[in-house]
Amino acid sequence: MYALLGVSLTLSINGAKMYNWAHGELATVGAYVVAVLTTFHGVSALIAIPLAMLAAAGLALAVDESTYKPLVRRGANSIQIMLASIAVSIFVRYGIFIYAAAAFILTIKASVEMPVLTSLLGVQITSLYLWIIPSALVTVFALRTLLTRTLTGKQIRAMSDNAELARVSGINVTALRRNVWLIVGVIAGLAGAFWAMYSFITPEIGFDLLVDSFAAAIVGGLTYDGTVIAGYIIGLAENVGAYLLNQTLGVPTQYKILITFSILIAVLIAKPSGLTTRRMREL
Amino acid sequence: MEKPKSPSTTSRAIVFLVIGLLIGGAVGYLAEYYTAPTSSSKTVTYTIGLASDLSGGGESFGTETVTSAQIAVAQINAYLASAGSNVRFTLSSPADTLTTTDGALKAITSLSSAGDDIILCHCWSGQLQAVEQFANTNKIVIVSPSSTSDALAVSKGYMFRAIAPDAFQGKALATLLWNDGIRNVAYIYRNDAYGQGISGIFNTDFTALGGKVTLEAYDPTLTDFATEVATLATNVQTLGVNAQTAVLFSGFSTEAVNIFGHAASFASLTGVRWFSSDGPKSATILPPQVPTAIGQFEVQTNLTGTFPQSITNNTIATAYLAAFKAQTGNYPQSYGEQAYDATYLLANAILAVGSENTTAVQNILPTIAAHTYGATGALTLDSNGDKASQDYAIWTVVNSAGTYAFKNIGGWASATGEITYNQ
Amino acid sequence: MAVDLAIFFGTMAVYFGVYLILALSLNLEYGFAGQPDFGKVFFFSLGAYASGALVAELISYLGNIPGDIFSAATANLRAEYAMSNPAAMWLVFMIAIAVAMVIGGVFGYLASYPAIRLRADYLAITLLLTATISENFVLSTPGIAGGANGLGGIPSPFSWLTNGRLAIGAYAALVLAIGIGVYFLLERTLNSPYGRKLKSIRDDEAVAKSFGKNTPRIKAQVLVIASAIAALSGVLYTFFTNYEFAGSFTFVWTANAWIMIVLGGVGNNKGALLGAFILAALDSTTSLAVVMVNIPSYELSYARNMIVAAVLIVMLVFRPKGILPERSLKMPSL
Repeated sequence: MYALLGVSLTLSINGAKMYNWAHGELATVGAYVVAVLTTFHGVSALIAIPLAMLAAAGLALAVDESTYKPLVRRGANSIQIMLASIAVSIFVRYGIFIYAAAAFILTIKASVEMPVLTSLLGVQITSLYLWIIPSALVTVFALRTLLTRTLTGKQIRAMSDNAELARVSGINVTALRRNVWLIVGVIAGLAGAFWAMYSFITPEIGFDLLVDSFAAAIVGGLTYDGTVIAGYIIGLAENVGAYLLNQTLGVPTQYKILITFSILIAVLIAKPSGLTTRRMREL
Repeated sequence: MEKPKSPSTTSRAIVFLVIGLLIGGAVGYLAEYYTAPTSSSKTVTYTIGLASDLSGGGESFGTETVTSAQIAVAQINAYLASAGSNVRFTLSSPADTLTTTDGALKAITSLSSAGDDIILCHCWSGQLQAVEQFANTNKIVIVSPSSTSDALAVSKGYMFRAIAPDAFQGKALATLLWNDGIRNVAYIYRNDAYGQGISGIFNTDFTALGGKVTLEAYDPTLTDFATEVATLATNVQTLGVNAQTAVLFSGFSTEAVNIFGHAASFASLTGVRWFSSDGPKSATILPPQVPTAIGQFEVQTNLTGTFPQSITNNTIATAYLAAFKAQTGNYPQSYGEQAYDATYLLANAILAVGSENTTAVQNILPTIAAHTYGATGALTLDSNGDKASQDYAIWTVVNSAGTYAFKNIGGWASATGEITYNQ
Repeated sequence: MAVDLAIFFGTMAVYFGVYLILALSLNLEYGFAGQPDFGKVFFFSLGAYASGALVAELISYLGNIPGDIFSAATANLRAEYAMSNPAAMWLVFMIAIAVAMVIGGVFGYLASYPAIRLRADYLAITLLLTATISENFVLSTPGIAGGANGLGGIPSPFSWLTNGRLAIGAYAALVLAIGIGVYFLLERTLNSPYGRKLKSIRDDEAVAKSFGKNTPRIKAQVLVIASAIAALSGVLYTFFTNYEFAGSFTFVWTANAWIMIVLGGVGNNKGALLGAFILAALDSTTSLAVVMVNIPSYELSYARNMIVAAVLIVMLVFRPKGILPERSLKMPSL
């Protein structure tokens, strides 16, 4: 799930040239849509998830049109845009808080029955695992194909490299930007939807996941493949690492976020471009 | 790099207009709700300040305190009226303590600025500590029905707690588990004042009885506890998956549900009994608010816990619970009874003093408490200003014909330290 | 229900002072030197932690108070000691400020390493992560700042005044004085060749380098000073609340600092003043209003956050430089 969120974040960073702190909120929205629809309206997961993705996409687009684009037009620098995105994230998050508090669903989980498949090392594997891992891989693969094989994809890459040049070559940058945000929203919404099925969510969950997502994106050097790999590394390191440290050295599990931080710092110092190869960077 | 366009007068005007509109709108909205005090030369009105967590994680508990206080005040005014008295009580508009320590200080200072120096504050232990100096220097009486940390069991000047410190609950839990044949406990608890406090007390009491405890703290700021549950499973495995091993949980309901959810996938965890302190006992951990699988887990592991409650036949409590249910449609999930009692305590103290003189109220509060019996039992305070004794009800989760509910199956009496089960 | 003006204005003044110093610190970093610090609360918290444990140990030593400094019992004893030993408390207070600023400066220096190497965006993120993780770390480690229980008993240097309102008023005056002092100090320093140097680096680093300015060293200097100032703000806040708790140092403080300077005027210390004043006044008046007026909706706090966020967005879109624009530096008259 870190991978999904990280990849969509990378896309938004490269495509729109900005760091979107409200990215987490896209996932929160997706999560809540799925949770509310499945729990209170009995909608099946197969319908709820696409709806969640649509909602997140819609939100992403709305935010860009109303806030980020005007800012860029006025020549705001990247810090100001980042600040604005923080403000957006606060705005959306507390909006969700108000809704959740009013409906008494400050904590909720999606009601999707997950049959247990088998037992592995004392951990029961539910069909959820079967959903998530392949979906993540498929999504990433689809994104990759989109970016390498299709015209739109190539245009997006061109825009990431040099927006001015792209525009001059006749690419409709505005429309393309819109599409980028839609895709970003869709993937982030999916990540959120999965999270709601996996565990309980609160309005803050997007922001909580954001830290790890940023870490994944940076460690992955802002490339797509890199981010996915970094996402899995971080996810595993955090969970497995914390467990192992606890068992062997008696380190309390609260320190697990330090593991992510250490990885991030180590990478930034040693290799600021992240865990990438030349080929990945070309993407 | 081209310079950005310089701000024109138009944009400056727009900004001011927007900010002005926002402020104006807020003032207008507020003005609608301002009720000018009705002056009647005969009635004397005392105000009890109200501060509570109305936003953030503590919101549901905070609103319960407010409702409980409102119920208490309504009842008090009713009996004052029927006695022909010209005294009435009102509650201030509740100040939001934001579930943070800074928020608590802001709320108390605001209430004090508004002239309310006698306050019922739904403050957890950290918040109480944050306001202590301010309260004592400015002579502000604060009663909290929700701080149970044993670390604060020291004299607090103008602050009182209408609930007993967790030293009692730790003892109750130790007795409960020992009596049930448990000798090994894997304790998973919230890494904050509450969790650290109660796990420490339990550890001392249980090991004194001859038992063994493995402690594991979890970070309350996390949203998912898969790793922590995995560690717990290993701990249980080490202790031995049998009838003498149990898991004990101390935390809030949101974390409980997440942890139960993950625990259900570990054979070692479903193979032992689970116990809990009062933290998670709320309808939010029962179906239909959670998936049925969690409910099944709770029944399968015979989830049993303690809760501060009077265990004798308490008519005051029954009446209060009925009133609460009538008003909100649900029963209170946390310290509603304590808040209700605390309101009565403050009101009675003010009546005895005949004014809102905070020093006099502070002096007489222990005496009033010693003669009061409320929904939570005897309100007598100890020398630290905390409730001197507390019984604990023992609850478990039952599933009758598909409906999950809590059921009180007995109680721990603080007077005797013994557990009795209902027939 | 009479309004207790002394307490109202007293607390508002303290918040204003604390906010002002924090805003000035951020303005120095970002407004003048172009370093975006999204982890401001980290340096702020350093001041608080330093004043916490250190003060407690000092008072225990001076007052011969036995026992664990983190327990509530010793906190009470410390408060009592402070009430009868004003001179000693002042000594402790000043030591706390000095130590806090040094620690703040040291960490500011450490932060300059990534600041020099990383691009602005990366720096912002790194500092933010530092703040988040530090809060988590201190919360879990009991030895530094009382862990999950926090540390009480950090009495105000004015606690010997038995009149509570007077004590608050006196402390407020002290904080304001320090705040204004920092303000004037910064104004002096920045309306000088040094200030011009900073701005030139901010505006175009490559050019500044070509003119022979030692940009890394200057950036480091700025971070050290600004972090020390932020720590100062933390100390002053802690002596007001008499209690410090790692969990209270959340991103909200950083966000507030940014809001203050964006609202008031980036790169203009008068703007920081304005921003701090607006925030403190708004905070105090809305809190008071909530109590005095019967507002039925409990969602007010959430709505307040949304409004603040909306205002920030509006400001950024329409007037990113803040209400008071950056003035050109005062040049000596020719």
